[in-house]
Amino acid sequence: MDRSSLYLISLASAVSLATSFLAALGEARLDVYVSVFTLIYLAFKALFRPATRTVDFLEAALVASFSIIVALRIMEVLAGR
Amino acid sequence: MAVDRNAVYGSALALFGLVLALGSYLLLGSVPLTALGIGMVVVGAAWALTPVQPVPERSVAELVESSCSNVEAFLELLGASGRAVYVPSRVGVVAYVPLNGSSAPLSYVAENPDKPVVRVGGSLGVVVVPPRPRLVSHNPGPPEGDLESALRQVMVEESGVAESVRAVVSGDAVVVEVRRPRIEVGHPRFRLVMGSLASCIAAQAVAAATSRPVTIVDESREGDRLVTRLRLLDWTGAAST
Repeated sequence: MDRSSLYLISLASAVSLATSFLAALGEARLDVYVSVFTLIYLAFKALFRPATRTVDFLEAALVASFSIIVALRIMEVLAGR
Repeated sequence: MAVDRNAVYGSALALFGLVLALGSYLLLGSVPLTALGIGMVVVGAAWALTPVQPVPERSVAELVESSCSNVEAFLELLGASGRAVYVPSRVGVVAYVPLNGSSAPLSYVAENPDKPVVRVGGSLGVVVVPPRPRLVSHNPGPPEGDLESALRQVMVEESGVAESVRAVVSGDAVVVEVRRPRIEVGHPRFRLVMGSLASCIAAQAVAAATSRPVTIVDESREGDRLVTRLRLLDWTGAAST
């Protein structure tokens, strides 16, 4: 099995497992799911180093979402003081 | 962007995930189902972004092997036995093979990469186009400290000739450790002059990244690792053979 196929199968399995696990825990915050997906995507990309045909807009979108989520959480904490 | 199997299937999965996420969020208000949809978008987009291997790995190996056999025959005919010098030029990295004791100035070789026979003063040599990946071209490369990234990009990510690669730079010496080289060339003259295929590509990558001529000093196999010692040469001098 080539590296790209292994990367895609591993990514799909990890995302499915994370979704099932968080859903089983009763997690109802969407930002938690998105954060976990972002971390999984970045970790697998660093691990497998797959070839990409163009600019990785998915990585940019996920990192942007993650940054917004973290910023909102920090603002919540600061506002709560 | 060429549309291939991965792009079609990946886009379809991402689109389905998007519809599922929006439907689940707006109509059902279910967070786990929405997350499942987002997960499908992530996997689908990753799938769409991953190119299909254009040519099977075994076919590539056979193509490289057959092209190396031509170089082997050429070097055998000329009786070449000196180590090649990998010289970055405007047409990419070329291999200069000195045929007698003396060598032409390497800057002359770089300026005249189209000349197959180089005869300057008493020196005689030939210019051979080695098997080279797409990324090995004479562009201003990264600094020497980033040589390992350049090698990884060429040998692991672009051409896939090795599983991993490490490099240590010490002055003009570069030690490259290639783990599990995937394509081997058995031709003895090719190996004597150009080095093993992995070393040949590593030398080209170093030459392109540093914009300096490079020669292979020696190489040794230790299990599934290939350790190659390279030397960066000066433009002003000639290759010592």
